[in-house]
Amino acid sequence: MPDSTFNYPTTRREFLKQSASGLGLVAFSSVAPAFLTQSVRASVPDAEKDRTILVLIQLAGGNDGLNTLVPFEDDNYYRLRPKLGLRKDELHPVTDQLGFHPACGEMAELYREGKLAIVQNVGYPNPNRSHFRSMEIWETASGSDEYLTTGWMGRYFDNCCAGIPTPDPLGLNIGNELPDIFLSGREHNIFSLANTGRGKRTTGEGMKEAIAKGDFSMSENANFLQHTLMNALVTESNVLKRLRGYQPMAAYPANALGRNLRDVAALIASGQETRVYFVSLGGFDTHANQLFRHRQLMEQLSSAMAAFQADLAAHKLDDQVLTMTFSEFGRRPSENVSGGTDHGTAAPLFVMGSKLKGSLFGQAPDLQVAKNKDLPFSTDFRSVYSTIIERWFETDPTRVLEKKHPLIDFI
Amino acid sequence: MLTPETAWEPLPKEEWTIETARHLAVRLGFSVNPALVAKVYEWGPEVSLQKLLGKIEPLTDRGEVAAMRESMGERYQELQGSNPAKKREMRQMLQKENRQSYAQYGLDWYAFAREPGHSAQEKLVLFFQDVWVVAFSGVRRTPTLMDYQDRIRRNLGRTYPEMCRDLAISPAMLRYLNLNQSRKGSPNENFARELFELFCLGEGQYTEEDIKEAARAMTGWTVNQMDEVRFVRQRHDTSRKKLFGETGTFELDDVIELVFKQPAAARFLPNELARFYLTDDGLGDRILEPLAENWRASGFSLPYLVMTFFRSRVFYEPGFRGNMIKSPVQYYLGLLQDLDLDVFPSPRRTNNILRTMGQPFYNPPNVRGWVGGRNWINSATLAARRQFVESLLRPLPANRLNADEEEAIAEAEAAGRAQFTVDQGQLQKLAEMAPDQLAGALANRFHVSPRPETLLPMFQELQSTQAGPRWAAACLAATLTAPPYHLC
Repeated sequence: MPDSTFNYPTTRREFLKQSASGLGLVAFSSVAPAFLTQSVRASVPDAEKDRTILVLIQLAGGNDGLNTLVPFEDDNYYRLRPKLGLRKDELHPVTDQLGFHPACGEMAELYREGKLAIVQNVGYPNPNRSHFRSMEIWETASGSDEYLTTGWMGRYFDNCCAGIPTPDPLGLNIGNELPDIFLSGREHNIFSLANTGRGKRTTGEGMKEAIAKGDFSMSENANFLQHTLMNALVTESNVLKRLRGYQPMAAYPANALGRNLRDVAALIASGQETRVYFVSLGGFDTHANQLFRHRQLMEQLSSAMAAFQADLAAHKLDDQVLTMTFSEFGRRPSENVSGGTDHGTAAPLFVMGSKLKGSLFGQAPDLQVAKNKDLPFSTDFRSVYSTIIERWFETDPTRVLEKKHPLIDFI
Repeated sequence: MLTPETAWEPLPKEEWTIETARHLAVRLGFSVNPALVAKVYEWGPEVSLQKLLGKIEPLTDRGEVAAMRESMGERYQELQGSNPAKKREMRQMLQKENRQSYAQYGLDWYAFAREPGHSAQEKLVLFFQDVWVVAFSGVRRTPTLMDYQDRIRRNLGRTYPEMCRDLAISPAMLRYLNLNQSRKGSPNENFARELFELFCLGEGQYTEEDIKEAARAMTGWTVNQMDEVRFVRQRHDTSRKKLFGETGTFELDDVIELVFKQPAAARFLPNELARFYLTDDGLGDRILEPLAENWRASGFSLPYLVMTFFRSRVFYEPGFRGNMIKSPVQYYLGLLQDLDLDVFPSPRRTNNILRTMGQPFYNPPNVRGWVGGRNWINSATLAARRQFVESLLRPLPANRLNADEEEAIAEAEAAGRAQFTVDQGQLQKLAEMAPDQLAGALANRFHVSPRPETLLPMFQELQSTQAGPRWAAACLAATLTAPPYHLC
């Protein structure tokens, strides 16, 4: 189908104009929770800026930063990695010191075009080496000695988007478990789209209408449950409908991350008002025989990110979207005896978009570490978050992160 | 309106009804299965508690996990003496075994707790696991976790200070909160802080100075690869400490003794009990005070506390009934008991389901345990609950079972525990009922506070898309996924 038949709405205002009658929500208007129907019925959008959207790509398991972005002029690298060290001539150089993993050609290209920024050696003080705990620290943006019950995106929603009625989810996760990043103090429309069994015919047929018919006002918790249940069912059918009709304008790789980012592009292009998308790529916990496995992962990451960016650009949506990768930790600089690497600390992260300023940030790690010692981080991950909140979402970061962190100039 | 004085009186006989019996059954255990409710009603609160909690039984685990438990210590020991390459290989093997036996342990536990005779006891074990938190992600040794859970079970009939001491110096806790690394000159405050804040007193009932001093007093405990716990005097700080206003050359036992002299200690656990079993908000000091006083007088006896709590008038307050959001474990085990189904003996349809519902086995996110309440509910966890219900209403997909699962099913069949999905003939019978009749039957069968009129419009609506047994299945699915079934 030629794309000219579609004019993808780029602002919420345009979107509402285009689809004021088409949301299919009105059918439930007598029973759907108020915030689902309010904005549709009112049909008068609030004055607001163009939507800015954040896409988070979680690299679960702890990505080996040193073999993602290789300091090929540093003898220490080859000293620490006698077997795993990647040869200079295979790499995609980005500076005279640094080169991308051989399978990351597309990412190197994006870097050269100014669409990919590298923040080097990102971590936090007193690093925790448990997957679970360290991921929790990244997702809640806590210190390593504090436990927060809300995620950094959840707190952003609490501060900036509470009370604004949205028929669409503010945050959308693709995967079977909702990440802590969206945990919030107040109630928001957050949706999790299962990877598996999507659209399967189930006894759930007609369930949405059935649940809507029930009267569960007997208690606050029953009311809350009906509301959340309805919300999930309505959102699911809307989201699936939007996914079905999508025509990508770039070739996505046939892998899980490619499929998931294609879905994210579809939802963005549909004008869905989601502000934050979360997708995850697993398998980075490479304790043994890392070379082959890590290569596959790098290939998947690089090709999927590039296709996503190209697709957004072709749809003229790239100005609205910022994509960021993160992982719970990097890996130990010294390789282990099984041809793998163990849990470490700091690693580079990547930010992708068409509105970036500059491309290489933070200090490169100092590799003069003793055998089996870890890299001290040089940029706190909360500096990256603060930058995104202030410069991308135009919100005061101290409302989300409590303390001030120095900003980084990637946007 | 209950006063602190009347709140803890036993429920008057005339208020013991089928409704209060349902409340006790579902809160003490997991289900409102009519067979169970009928018994509880006949027994009354006191006898029910004696029958359901009077005798604590050890977990029946399968041979393989027990075998690992036997050999594990020695193998960790052996690991110490090996060369680096061998060491790695052994460590990886142990990790793999730990993961496998952890999955098996989960299955064993679900099956054990699903037996109605064990449900109340195991829910109480869960409660203590949620106060004295340790997690698989922090301990990573299945036998060590099992030992910890056994300690909880063994102490259910004793006093809380006794339980506290036993858990404090367990291999699991020594590792989980790093007390094993706490030594003279470099005390680790992790355990001391949580002992006060999360296990015994609550926030604001101690000073930072108390934590520092208690940490010094509790130095010297170690655990080796064989999971043997020892107190090493040379690692212990023998100097004087000042704790809660008292001074002495305190050790771990003294710290626990001093903790229980604090007024907050008598209120803390009763309030945790109320938050777990009765209401997310807890009960507040005023109501709790008389119970706290008597509990202290009983020497902090756990049986006294549990008996008093579940017999009390406040436990049966109408405002507290049918309004608690079920945890995934409660929802999952309750479903199996309500539908008379067995635990499917493979992680894919059991442990994994609980994980997507948001409560992986014995693995809370951090030392604070599960947040619970409304935090259990989001679009992903609700979808997981819905999908699980739907999977119970279809026959097992025989062509999609792997060899391990087929073997486990054969074993379960031999043991007569292989009813994993709802009998399709039952659905046929349900399909013959009129919508209002079915709404009455299902509400009464499955909901804690049955209100058939909430189900009827749903069932009528479903008639427009489905008929016959498919309609009955959809009605059953609606009953088990609608708001009232997520509440207990």
